[in-house]
Amino acid sequence: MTNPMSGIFRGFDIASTGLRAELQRSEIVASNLGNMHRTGNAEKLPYRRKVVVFEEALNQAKEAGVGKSDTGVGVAISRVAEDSTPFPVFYQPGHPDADEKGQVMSSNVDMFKELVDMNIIQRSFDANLKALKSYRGMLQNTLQQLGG
Amino acid sequence: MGNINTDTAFTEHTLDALQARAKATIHNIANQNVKGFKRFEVRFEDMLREAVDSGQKIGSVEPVVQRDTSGGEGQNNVVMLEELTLLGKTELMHDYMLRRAGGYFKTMNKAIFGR
Repeated sequence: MTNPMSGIFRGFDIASTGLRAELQRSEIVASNLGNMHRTGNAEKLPYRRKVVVFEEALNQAKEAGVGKSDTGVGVAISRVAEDSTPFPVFYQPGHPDADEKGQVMSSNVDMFKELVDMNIIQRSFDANLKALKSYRGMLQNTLQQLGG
Repeated sequence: MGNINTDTAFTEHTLDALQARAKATIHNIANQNVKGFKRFEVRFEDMLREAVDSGQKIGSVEPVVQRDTSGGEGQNNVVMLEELTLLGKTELMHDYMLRRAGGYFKTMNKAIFGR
């Protein structure tokens, strides 16, 4: 830790990791919704739903005894995985993606699931934003009371 | 009365605890969608009570950050509303302790400079 003030500003950093992670997750959901109608067949596979996996970010410098209150430093996106659910198959012989039997594979995105996910992300984003505002209020009060 | 260091030690440690609790709560909120995450909690008030009961100095009590391991194995135990309430409570308490510290310094100023 090079910045001696990072202890007090750490609260902002933690909240911002949350905001960033939720925002990136919402982009993946938007991408799922945008590609949900991309069909395919056995040669050219349709769109596979993407899932974001989060992980907890811990302070690496904690062992060096920098400060016991700075144990957790927020959240991070560990990877973007693929949903392994099988593709639903429907019968439509005239479809450009249909094979010789008239079978077309559609993407494994479930629109309602994505919409629910989007709502959850919005709530989480708001909670992180609220946390950020609270922390700012605390620092502002500190300046007012002890700033001389 | 008379030693600024011992007079403000209690307020200082309380502010430390509240600051740490705010950060831990923000960390919990940020990790509410992480599978298997266990929330952090900051212990202070109960240790203060123990110190009072056993006749120790309350200025010597320091906050402890630890994991709350309640909930099932591999299950996230963050409840968003609880964390937000805790954060609001922490914010208020922090404001109160700051006013207390500010008042103390004002009094000291008055005692030294007469204004």
